[in-house]
Amino acid sequence: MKFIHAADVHIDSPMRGLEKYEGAPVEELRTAPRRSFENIVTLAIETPVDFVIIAGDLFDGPWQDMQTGIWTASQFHRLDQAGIPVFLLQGNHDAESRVPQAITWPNNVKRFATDLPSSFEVDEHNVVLHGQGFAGREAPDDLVPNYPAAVSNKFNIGVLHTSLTGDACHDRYAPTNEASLAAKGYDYWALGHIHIRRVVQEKPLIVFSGNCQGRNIHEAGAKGCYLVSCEAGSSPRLDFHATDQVRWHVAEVRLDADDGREELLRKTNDALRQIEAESDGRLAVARVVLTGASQAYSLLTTIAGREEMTGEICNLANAFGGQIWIEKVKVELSPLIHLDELRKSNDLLGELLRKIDHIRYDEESLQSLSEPLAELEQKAAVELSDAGIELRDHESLLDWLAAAEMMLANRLGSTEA
Amino acid sequence: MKIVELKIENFGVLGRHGLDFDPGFQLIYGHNEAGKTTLLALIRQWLFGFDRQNVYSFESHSGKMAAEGVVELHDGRRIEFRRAKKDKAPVHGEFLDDHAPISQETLTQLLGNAHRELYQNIFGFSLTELSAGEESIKNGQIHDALFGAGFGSLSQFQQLKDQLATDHGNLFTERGRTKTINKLVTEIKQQIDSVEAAVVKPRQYARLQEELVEAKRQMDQLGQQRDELSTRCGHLQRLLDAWEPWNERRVLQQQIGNLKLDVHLPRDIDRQFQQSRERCAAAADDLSDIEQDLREITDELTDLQLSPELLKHASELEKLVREVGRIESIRGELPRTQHQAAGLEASVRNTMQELNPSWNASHLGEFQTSLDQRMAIDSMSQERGELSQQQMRLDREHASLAQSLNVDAKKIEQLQVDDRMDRWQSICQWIADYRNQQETVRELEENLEACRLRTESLQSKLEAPFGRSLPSLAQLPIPLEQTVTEYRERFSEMQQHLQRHKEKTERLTADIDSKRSESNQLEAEHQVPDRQQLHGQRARRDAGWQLIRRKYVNQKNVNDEILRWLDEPDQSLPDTFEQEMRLADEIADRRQAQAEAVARQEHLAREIENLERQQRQAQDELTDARQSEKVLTDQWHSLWADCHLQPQSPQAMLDWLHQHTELVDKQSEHSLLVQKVRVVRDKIGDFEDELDEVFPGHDTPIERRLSELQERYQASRDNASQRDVLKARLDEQQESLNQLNLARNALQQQESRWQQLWSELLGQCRFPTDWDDQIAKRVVDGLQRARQQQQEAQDVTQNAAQLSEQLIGFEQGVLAMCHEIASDLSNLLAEQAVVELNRRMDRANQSHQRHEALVDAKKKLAARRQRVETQMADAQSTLAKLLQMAGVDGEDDFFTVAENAEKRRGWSEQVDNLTKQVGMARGPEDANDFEEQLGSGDADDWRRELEEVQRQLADSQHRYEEVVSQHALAQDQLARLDGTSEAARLQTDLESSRAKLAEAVDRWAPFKLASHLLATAIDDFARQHQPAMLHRVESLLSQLTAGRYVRVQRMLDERGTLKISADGQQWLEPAQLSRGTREQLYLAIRLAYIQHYCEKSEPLPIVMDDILVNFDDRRCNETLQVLARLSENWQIIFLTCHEMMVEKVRRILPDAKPIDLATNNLSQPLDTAKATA
Repeated sequence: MKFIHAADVHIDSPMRGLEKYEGAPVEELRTAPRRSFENIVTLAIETPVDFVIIAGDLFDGPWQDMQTGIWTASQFHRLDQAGIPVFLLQGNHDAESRVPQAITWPNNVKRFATDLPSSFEVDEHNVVLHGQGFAGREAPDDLVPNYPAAVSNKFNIGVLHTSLTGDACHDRYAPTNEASLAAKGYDYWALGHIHIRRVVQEKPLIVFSGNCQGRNIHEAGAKGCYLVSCEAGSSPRLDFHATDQVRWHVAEVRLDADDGREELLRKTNDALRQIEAESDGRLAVARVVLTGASQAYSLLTTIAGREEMTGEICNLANAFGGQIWIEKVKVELSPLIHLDELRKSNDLLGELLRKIDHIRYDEESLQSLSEPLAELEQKAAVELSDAGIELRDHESLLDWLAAAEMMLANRLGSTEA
Repeated sequence: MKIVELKIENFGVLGRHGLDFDPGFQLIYGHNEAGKTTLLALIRQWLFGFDRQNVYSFESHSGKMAAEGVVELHDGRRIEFRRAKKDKAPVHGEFLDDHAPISQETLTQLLGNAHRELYQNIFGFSLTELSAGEESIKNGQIHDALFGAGFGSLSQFQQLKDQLATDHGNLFTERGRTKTINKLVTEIKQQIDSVEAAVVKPRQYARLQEELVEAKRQMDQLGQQRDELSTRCGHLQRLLDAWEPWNERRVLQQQIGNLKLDVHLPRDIDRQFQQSRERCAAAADDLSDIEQDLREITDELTDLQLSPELLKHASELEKLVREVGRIESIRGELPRTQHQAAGLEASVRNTMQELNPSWNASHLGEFQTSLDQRMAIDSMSQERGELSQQQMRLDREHASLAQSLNVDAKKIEQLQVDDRMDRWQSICQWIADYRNQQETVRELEENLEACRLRTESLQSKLEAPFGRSLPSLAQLPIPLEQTVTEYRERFSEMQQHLQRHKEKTERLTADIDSKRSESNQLEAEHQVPDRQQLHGQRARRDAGWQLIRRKYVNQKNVNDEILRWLDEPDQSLPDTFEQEMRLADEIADRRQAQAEAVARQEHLAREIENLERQQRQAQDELTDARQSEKVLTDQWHSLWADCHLQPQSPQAMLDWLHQHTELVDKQSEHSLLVQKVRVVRDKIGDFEDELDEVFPGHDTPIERRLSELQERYQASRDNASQRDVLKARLDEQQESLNQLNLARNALQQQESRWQQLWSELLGQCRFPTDWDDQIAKRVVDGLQRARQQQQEAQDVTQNAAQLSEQLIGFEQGVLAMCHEIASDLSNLLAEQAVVELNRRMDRANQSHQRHEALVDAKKKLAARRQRVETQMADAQSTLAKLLQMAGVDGEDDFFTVAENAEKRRGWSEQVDNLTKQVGMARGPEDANDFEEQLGSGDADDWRRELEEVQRQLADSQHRYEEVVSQHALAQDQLARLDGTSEAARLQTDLESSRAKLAEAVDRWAPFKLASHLLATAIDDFARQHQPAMLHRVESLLSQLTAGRYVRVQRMLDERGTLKISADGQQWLEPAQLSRGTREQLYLAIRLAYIQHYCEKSEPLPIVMDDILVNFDDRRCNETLQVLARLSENWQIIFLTCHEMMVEKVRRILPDAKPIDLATNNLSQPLDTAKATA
């Protein structure tokens, strides 16, 4: 018996943090979540598997376009024609969306109830699946206690959308723990919600398949689903299949003191070549992070200089035949100065740098830095929030403070300036 | 910190040089390219570290870049340190008093944690910097001017400030539209709307689906109806189509029945009959040809000649043929090999005779040496050579060292040292301090006098507000300066306030007068009745009308009222009313005619009224302000009440306050100075006592005694130092000599050991005992060579014997074969006989192959004859069968029957075709029913029905197509939803804009924060230090301008513009000053910041690079005098390329010792300096 365990497909969810630029492969990137789901369906048909489990968040919550639902139904039709049932669990994003309620699914799609746990049997393989979807956006309670007891002499699969005991990157939904899950006596727990692929426990198998397609720089690396094979008398076997159409990468380019423009571009090009090799022919989205103390810092101190260098790096990416899209060029370079020495000095610059250092470690002072930025917040609070920009965010303020410090130290502490 | 001396190694044009610096004002003169910049760079890099990629590192330098020297710290301690490029520890040095070591870290701390940028920016002055500072100060705010210096140069600071403001302003402004972030925010708002509009909502989708289902239902219904009509139509058409072929088929079936033929003959039977007859004739011709060929082959076989004996020896002959080439080669090679063997044997003999004329090859066996023995001989021979060389080297070194020892010992004897050195040293160390102390006492006494004079002057000035002398001014309960400043501001504001109200009142009065005048003029010009007049007339008219109505309509007695209304008692009411009415209308008409003037007049009246109200209000405010002024004045007086004085204006009192503060400071300074003089005088006394004791000479002036003492101490110290050096060297040399002797003894032992080993080796090799290593090595090499030659001779001889043996074997084999099969060839050379035999063998082979081919051909012809006979029999059999099938005996009857059979077959095929046509017309309908209907129906009836059904079908089709179109439309709308999502595309665009926004904010925020932090730092610094800084600038500017400008203040405007004044009354902004004064102002600001910096950190040498070239003589002298004074506390290194400047400096500082880069002061190499010493 074979089945696919997938979750967090988030069909038509847009990629976050990507700027369009001339030559960038926009269309391929936009349709990446759909292509990834198509790959899962194709894998199911070609293997072939006996059924497919989707452990929540097939859709992306705020996205209400019916075209998404229609397209998804067409993929389920493909599975239907191949005689493959789909067991679909509603996750928190699905509950937020009206699309799944409005669409008519093919007959092979079996949806778990949302008010109470429900079960489906697959007689020819002696399998029974138990699951409960989310009725609304919130699911503060542990749903596992209400799940039915394991059916004896059958292979029991539990399907659940949960944050488990908690994760810094994900909101809390249907919290529970490994012990509660194991106590149910099921043979396999197919979990969704956490986007990082993880085998939580091996006996019984408690598994997060992760999401099928990375959608931002925090979801770098291979993404896909698990193909689970069960032979009588032996433990289930897990095979991960990468279905992502686009892969996210972080490329650190470390510059040495004497590196200039040519070296910067050469090292960046080497990093991009490495990314191309790691992408297995997929489109790659790369964040280039320039680090190190280097004279190249002076190339990036002005807006024009930075834009020019970003353009050059995008050009480098374009030379890979549309296989790499630059998400962002993050500058963490520092100039060739000795900040510690400057900070110790008794002149005004020393005082300024010591004050900056104090602000860095004093939360109240750090937060007061948001005051000069408030004019922007007043103008565009909603737009900033939607773009994921938080002017009072601790980390962001630290980053901006460090950049400002470098800027000032470079201009005021360098005899070459 | 002051630089005392400096030694340079391999830095730019400065190869190896030494310099002494004046701890106060050090002038350095040199024309362009003379090395001023190099020297400056060296000082900076010596103090703070060499540049990694150093432009002063020349390939021509022989050693590493380094500098060492002595500096004096502000607390009097001196350190000496050396910095070398590429050393592991960049700094080596020590304190000169206690020799405590210093490292890079210690040095950094001693330099007050200053760094090279700080040093260059704050302590470095160039002409460019001064000019840029002067230019920027014109428009600089006070913050920039005062504290930009704290960030290096003012121009750099302002440039950065402006750049930051431009950078973040380019990205976002609060009211901007076209700025990057503003634009993105607007775009994002629009894009959100676009996405919302493009999204297909679930409700919209459900409606489309319902439309599709309804269209499908109608389409199915109409489709069914259309299909039924179409089916009927098709059936009728098929009957009509089948009608004609069906009739024709019926006629043909009747004709076939009439032929009455019983037998069934296959198609083309007549052609088969004819072919069989032709095959019989062809077989007979073939048989005749085969017989002829067989006969010819038999004849040729009989004639053929074969040689079986020869063929038997084919393989042996083949081997011999392959040998022929090699045998011919052996015949040529054999004599040469034999000759070579003889030559090699002769070489062996020669080699042996070279070693010893009495030796021959047989002696080789007597001198057998093994490989180990030969190697031992080589090794010992080499060792012997090395020992000899060492012996010679040691002898040379020994002689040289002994000579050097004698020379140094004589030198030491000649050097004399005084035994009072230690006491003298102590005195000499204090001489400089003693002189400084004397100088200090002089200065302190001068200061004391200056302080006293200033105190008296201040006291006299301070008495003014009292009107009488008060002894204890320092004890007065004087208000704080800040309070007085506030009063000054308040008075100033009050004056401005009063002035504003006065001006306002006057302005309003003037306005009112102007309006009134205009109004009067209007009235005079147009004689317009005013509104009041019109209203009065109308009121009179209306009163008259009331009287008429009451009298004539209501019949009331109103005569008294009428009389009161009438102007004259004899007037009639109606006439007068009419007259009044006319008058009112006339006034109204006149006003109407002059409407514009009226409107203007009314407007003016309102304005006047308004202005009068404002005027009253302004007067009230003015009164209030005057009241406030009085209150403020009272407060001002009460503030000073405790001091029992009549305060003057706040500004005057502020000046008074400054003078008071100065007085207090001066009084305290006076006490301090008195105390210092006492302490220093005590130290001087102690020193002179010590001197008398150690170096008596009461009649000699003390300075002369000191000089003598220094000279004698210096000479004695030099001798001691030199003697120490020589002694140390003597010890080292003696040690080296001992080492040499030891080495020579060891060598002799080695030689003895060698000799012993050599004797043993000769014994082992059985060589004569008197052979040295050279003879033994030559004999061993010669014998080895002879052995090799002998081995080669033996190998060559053996090879010749083998070749001869092979030749004889070949000749014997050939002769044997000739005896057996070709005795006629026995007399030929073996190789020739083999060639002839091979030729005969080729011929025999060719005859044999031809015989084989003929036998094979004969067999094939026999087989073919048998096949042709079989074919002829088959053809004859077929002819018999065909006649039997037709049931006839003769060939003519056979052809008649065949013709009838062919006719029947043609008709049957026509019937089959017609049946197919009927079948095709019938289509999918049942065959029996269809045939039955054809047999029973009528074609005309079918045609009429068809026309009717076709009309119904067309109608139905039209309606069906309409519904299909509706269905397709709905389906298309839904199908479009399956395609690429427009909403998703727009969402991608939106996300792209959001990403751009995030990126732009990431760029904007650091610029904004940098701007903010810079401004905050300046504000903080200003809050803490502004008054002190202003005071310093004032003092310095006053000195630099010789008292022409004595006050510096910031204005109360928003920008805080700087202003300066000569007398505290007339104030000028920087832009109003001359360029020279502005440069002096900027210099004063920079020096003031240095003062501020040095209060809490180690002072560093100030470097000025020809900054006075744009100053006129007066300014130049004034500035040099100020610098000379400052150099009492700070070291100032002043560089110039103008000789005039050197002269000016000498006039002001006669003791100054300029370093001339063009002459020998700088370019005196270290080596020369040492040699001179």
